[in-house]
Formats: sequence, C-alpha cells, structure tokens
Amino acid sequence: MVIFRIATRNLFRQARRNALSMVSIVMGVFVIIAGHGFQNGLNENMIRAQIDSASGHVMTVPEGYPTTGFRQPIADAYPLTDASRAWLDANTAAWTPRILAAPRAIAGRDAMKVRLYGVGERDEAVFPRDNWSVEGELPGEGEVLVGSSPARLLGVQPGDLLTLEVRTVDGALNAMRYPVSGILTTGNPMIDNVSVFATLSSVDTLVAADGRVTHVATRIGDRRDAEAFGAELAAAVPSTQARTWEDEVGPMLEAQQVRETMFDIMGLALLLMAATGIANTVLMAAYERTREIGTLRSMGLQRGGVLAMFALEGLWMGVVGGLVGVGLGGGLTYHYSVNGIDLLAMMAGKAEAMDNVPIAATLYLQFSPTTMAVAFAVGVFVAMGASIYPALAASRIAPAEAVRAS
Amino acid sequence: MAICELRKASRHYGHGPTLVKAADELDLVIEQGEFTVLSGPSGSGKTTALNLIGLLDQPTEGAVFVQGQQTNLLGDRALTHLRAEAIGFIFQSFNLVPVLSAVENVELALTLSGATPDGGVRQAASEALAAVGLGELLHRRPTELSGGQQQRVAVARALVKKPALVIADEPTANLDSKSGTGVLDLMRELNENLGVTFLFSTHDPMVMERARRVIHIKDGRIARDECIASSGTA
Repeated sequence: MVIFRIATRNLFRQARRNALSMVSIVMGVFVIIAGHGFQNGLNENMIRAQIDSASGHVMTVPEGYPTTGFRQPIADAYPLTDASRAWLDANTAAWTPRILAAPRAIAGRDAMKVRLYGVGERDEAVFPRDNWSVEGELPGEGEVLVGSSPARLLGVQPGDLLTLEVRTVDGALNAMRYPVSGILTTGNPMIDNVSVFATLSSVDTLVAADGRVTHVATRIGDRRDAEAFGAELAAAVPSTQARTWEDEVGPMLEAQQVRETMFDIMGLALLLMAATGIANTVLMAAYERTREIGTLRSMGLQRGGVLAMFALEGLWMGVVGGLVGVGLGGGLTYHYSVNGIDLLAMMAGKAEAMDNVPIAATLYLQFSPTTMAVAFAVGVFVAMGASIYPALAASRIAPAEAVRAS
Repeated sequence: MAICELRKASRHYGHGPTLVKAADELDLVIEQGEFTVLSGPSGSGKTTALNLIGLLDQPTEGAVFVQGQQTNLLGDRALTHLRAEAIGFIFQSFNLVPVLSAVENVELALTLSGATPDGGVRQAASEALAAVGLGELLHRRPTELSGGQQQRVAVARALVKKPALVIADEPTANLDSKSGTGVLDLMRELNENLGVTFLFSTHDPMVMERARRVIHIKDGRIARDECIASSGTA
C-alpha cells in the first residue's frame, strides 16, 4: 500500500516531464480509437448505402450478370412468375422488382451514359428515400427523375426533355424522349452521379422487357442472414443468381481494411514512441532517486518492492495517458456518432470518381466502448512494459551505493 | 550481549594494482547500549564499516554477525528482512522520502519492518515524532521542515521500530551547531533512558565529546579503540 502511495505521489513530483511522456500515450490511444471509429463508421456507411440504395439485403440478378464496372446488360432479363411473387411475399420483409439498363442520355447536343432504374411502386419499401432531395416531382408514367450530376452535365431542368437511347432486350436499338419531372440529390455518388429513375412500366416499354426484370431486391429481418436467405431466393426465382449486400460491398470493405491496418500501425507506432519516452522518464527518475532507493532498501524494502514502485509509476502514466486518450478519442467518436460528418461537403468536386462506391451523405463514426477499452488496455500495457527495464535497473542498485548517491 | 560483530571483515574494491582495501580485517564488537563513534578522516573506511555492520554491503572476506546470526550466508531477501527488523539508519542528508509527510515517513519504517505496534502504525509513528519534539508537525512534508527537524524525523523513523542498533552516518554534518547539538542530545537521551544502541561515523568533535567509546579508523583498519569513562552532555 505504501509503495502504491509513493508511486502515485511521484507522478506529480516531475509533473511536467511525466505529462510530456504521457502525450504519446494519449496520441496513440486517441489514434486507435478515432481511427477505428472512423473506419468502422465508414464501413457501416458503405454497407447501409449499399443496402439502402443498390441491393437491399439480397437481390436476384440474371446468371452471369457482371459484378464490376458500368455495365447493366438486359438481354438476360427474367420473368417473375406468380409462384416467385408468392414466395417473395411470404418470405421477405419487403421486395421490389427493378429493371436496370445503361442507356445514352441525350439533351440537345450533349450526351452521356447513365444508369437507368425502372422502379415499381413498392420500391421505397426496400430502398428508403429518407436522403432523397427532389427538386421538382417524382416521375410519373413516361417521365424521368435525373440525378444531380447528369442533370448538371446535360444542362436539364425539371420540364426539359431528355432522350434515352438503349438496346432492347431483343437487341434492337430504341430511343424515347421523356419530360424531366425532377432533379435528384441523395449525397450518394453512386446515385447522384449517373442515375436516371423512371417507373418500371416506362422502362419496360423502352427496353421491350415484356414484364421481365433484371433485379428483384429484398429486405429480410436480419442482414446477417443474407447469405443463407440468398440460396433460398435463387431457387425461388428461376434463372437467377442471388447476390447479397456482402457480395456487393465486400471487395470495397476489404480494400478499406488496408486503411484500418494503417490506423493501427500509426497508433502502435505512437505507443512505441510513448514506450521509449516512458522508459526514459522512469530511468531518469530511478537515477535521480537513487538515494531514495537506497534509503528504502536500508529500511527493509525488498528488490521486488523497488521494481513494483517504478513499474507502478509507469503504470500510472499509462493509466492517466490512456484515460486522457480515451476521453479525447471517445469524445470525438461519440460526438460524430451522434451528429455525423457531412460527406457531401467533404467530397465536393471529388465525387465524380465514385460512381460505383455506395456512400451515404452523412458519415456517423462508430462509438465503440470495446475499442476504447482495448486501446486503453494497450496503452497501459505498453506504459507498464516500458517501465519494467528501468524498474529492474533501479531494483538492482546496491543499497550501499544508493544511500550515498548525491 | 553483542549486537553485532565484525570478524576479520574486509571489503576490497578493484583488482591488482587498482585494489582498494576500504575495510581491512576489521575486528569489532558492538554491545547492547553502547553509544559509539567510528572516527577517522575522509576515506578512512568509516562508512564501509558502517555499511558492513548495517548489512548494506557484504564483506569480501571475513564475517559479520548481527544479533548472533552470521550474515555472510544470507541472500539479499533475508539480509533485507534482518536489516528491517534489527537496524535503524540515520543519514547525513536525512534521506526522508519527499512525497511523504513526517508521520508517513515514520510509518514507512514500521510498515517495511512488518512491525505491528499496539494502537496501530499511525499512533506509534505519531508518538515517535512526539518523542523527538515534532508532535505538532506530523503532516508536514520534508520540504516544509528545517534541517534539524528533518533529522529529528529521521531519528524517529530509525527508532520507531525499536531496532537493536541505530547506525548514524555523519548525522550532524548537514546541520548547524544548534540543530546538531539538539539532535545529538536527543540521541544521547534515548540511549541513556531507553538503552538504544547507537553507532556513529563522524569526525565532528561535538559527536565525539558525547561518545562513550571512540574507535579510530585509518586506512581501513582500527587504529585505536578508546573507552571514555564519562562523556559530556550539552
């Protein structure tokens, strides 16, 4: 107990020096917490954006449907039988049929390739429109809703006409002219950059689908069950393959893993710097207090007691530095887990390159007590580990030399 | 009864041409109740002898006995334990733990020795401080005490566990004459009234005047061992 008391009070004996040594611990713990909060928040953001705007939990697509690039072939569009519809009604929380195509959009002399979504009335049940901001109206029959980027690039406004030129299911070339009902902004570059929305029947007519669809998107109770549900879904909708949200966003999450690893490396590098700082601080303390060590040894303090006293001082630096780091990192992640970060503002001018990246407009960092606890424990462990060597050195000082040290 | 004994105890440092005999075949017995001074010029070996007796150091050759126990064969742990039980130290520079108050410094000695006095550690420490005239300054940190007061705390710390022997290494060297006299008179009083055994190293005449036995050391050997029939007090 007395060793604990001395170690605790010694923390304030060279308060400025100890505080400086603790800064690296604070930074290391902060970087780990904030980095994980940012990365996990970004992952969750991408997952939600993928589910809420592109795939639902599980979707069916034609067998062999491309998984990368800006390709929306419709040649293998499939019919949705009554049996499939009944199965979907019985086994999903919500489902919606879609036709996706990649027509050329033409307005005046300008043209660009867009991703055309033919969506049914029940689409909003699978793809919520909370983030939708529509200038004008949602599209009625024979109208289109244009994403904000193509609208800007093509120079169209609500009320203007837009021509869509596309191959039909049978391979014929077809083009139709549509009034623009509105301009859509969601904050998700995957939607805003290249999308044009129309009713399912409008697109059916354009591509001559004759009731066939390219996608059936579903929602189920728990997204973690998507893989198991996908196998049943593919069997219930003939000539299709099921793709889960994980299939769609998984490769991107794997790429994000690199960033997460970098945050960990940065955090650990800072903690290693902290370790050397703390080792140096404790070693200096041991040399400065050699006479005190000798006095304590002369009074009966065993070597283990000296070791424990200095290790405790390192531990205290880890605890205090870790707590400050947890406070800062936890405070930051909590604040942005509640209030979010406006990605729209951050991505201004850079979103064009993210046509296939699902991102929601607001990024909510992940506030994780588990990460905070782990980062704190790592900080404390590093600090205590760093103090072991100088503590051992202190414990080995001969009492006879120590009592006479100046 | 012998509290401690050196038998042909030597402490050498270095080898060959750099060999230094800090203590050279010292034969010395300290009896219960003595008030003894080791005297000699700087570098004569006083402190080495005190370190051997105080179990802070081990002899290169010869033997050291404390309370009849030969200590050469003891490991560091056992030596530390014996030191904590049997010996109290008073240092030239007081050596109080600066982050502890006066009473906590005294308590520390009790805690480390494993003593469990009646009434508890705090009461025993307070009484020890009261006995050296610091009953009103229990909670002062060392930096808030004068040199004389700090040395009194060191005396209380050394005595509180009721050791068989108190070793004082130049206890007055860092004190002005008034404070030094006060501390010495206190020790002499404790020696006479409580029978506490004191062993000093010093070349302070003020200390030697009060000693009942003066052992002169020169070049690591005992040059002269004087018993003084009556010694002065302040």
